[in-house]
Amino acid sequence: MSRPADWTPLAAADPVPGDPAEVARVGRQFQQVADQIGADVSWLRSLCTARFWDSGAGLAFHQRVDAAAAELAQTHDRYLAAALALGGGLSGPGYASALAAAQSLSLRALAQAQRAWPVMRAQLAAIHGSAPSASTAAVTFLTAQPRLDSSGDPVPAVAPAGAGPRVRAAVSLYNASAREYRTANHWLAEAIALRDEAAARAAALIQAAVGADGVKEHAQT
Amino acid sequence: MDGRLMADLGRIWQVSGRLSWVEREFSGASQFSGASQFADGDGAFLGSGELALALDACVTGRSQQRDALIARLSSVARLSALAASSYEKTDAQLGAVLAKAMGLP
Repeated sequence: MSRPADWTPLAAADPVPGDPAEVARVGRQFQQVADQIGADVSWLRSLCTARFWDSGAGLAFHQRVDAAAAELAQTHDRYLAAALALGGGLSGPGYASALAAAQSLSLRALAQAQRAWPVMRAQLAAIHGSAPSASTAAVTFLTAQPRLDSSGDPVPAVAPAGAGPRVRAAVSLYNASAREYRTANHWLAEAIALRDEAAARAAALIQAAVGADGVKEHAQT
Repeated sequence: MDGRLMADLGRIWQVSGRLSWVEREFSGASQFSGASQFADGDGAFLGSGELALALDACVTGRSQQRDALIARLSSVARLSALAASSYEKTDAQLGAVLAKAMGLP
């Protein structure tokens, strides 16, 4: 599923990129490889019986096969860990479904933010347009942007003392939309956190399998 | 040797063929064997650099162990083919000797 290209006003680019369906497809591939390796391990171990090859040469062969089967079994565990970490579908456990959920939440956030933002700008323009300094009102009307704090949440507007009912109404409408925008911004933060936590969990699961599988490459070099 | 000799030649022959798939997997012929395939941009679909690095470590890391495993698998496959052909050759030679001794054509 393609993602929107325009993430303004919430973000400059897609804050939760990725393709959950492709992640799930790769997860299923890892599972297939793990299954195949598992079958090969079982088959190799089935060779290590006297019924298969009972002789001096057979014994020596069994030892080689046993060693190869043990190494393959470790590899099987790594591929299986990758399969479980990624997941094979868009529901159930695994990173693929978490990424799908995070993207869905981010889309909801974007839709709400894009609804709220023009309303905020329009009310802001109305507030400034009613300001006493009429000489700059036209310019302000075109360029007024809602102020955001360091978290990206809109700063609430405050009606100046002695403001008329039109300004007060515009401030009220502005703040209502700002609350919607704030909620959208929090949904987006939640989506990013959901993705980050799921990615960290998946990476840890894979790293544990890689670490348990003998000495790590980096430790050798 | 204790005097017994029993070998399932059919299965010994199968070993090299059966292991060929596994060898290909670890030799770079399959979809998961390219170097840094996830972290070098092809893993953009993951949406996480941390996860891409972990997958790369899982699939392409530990190249020395991977090479050792490939060598071991090749060795097992080669040994099995050698053993099966040697058994067959020995059996054919023994058959020929016995046939000659018995005066068979």
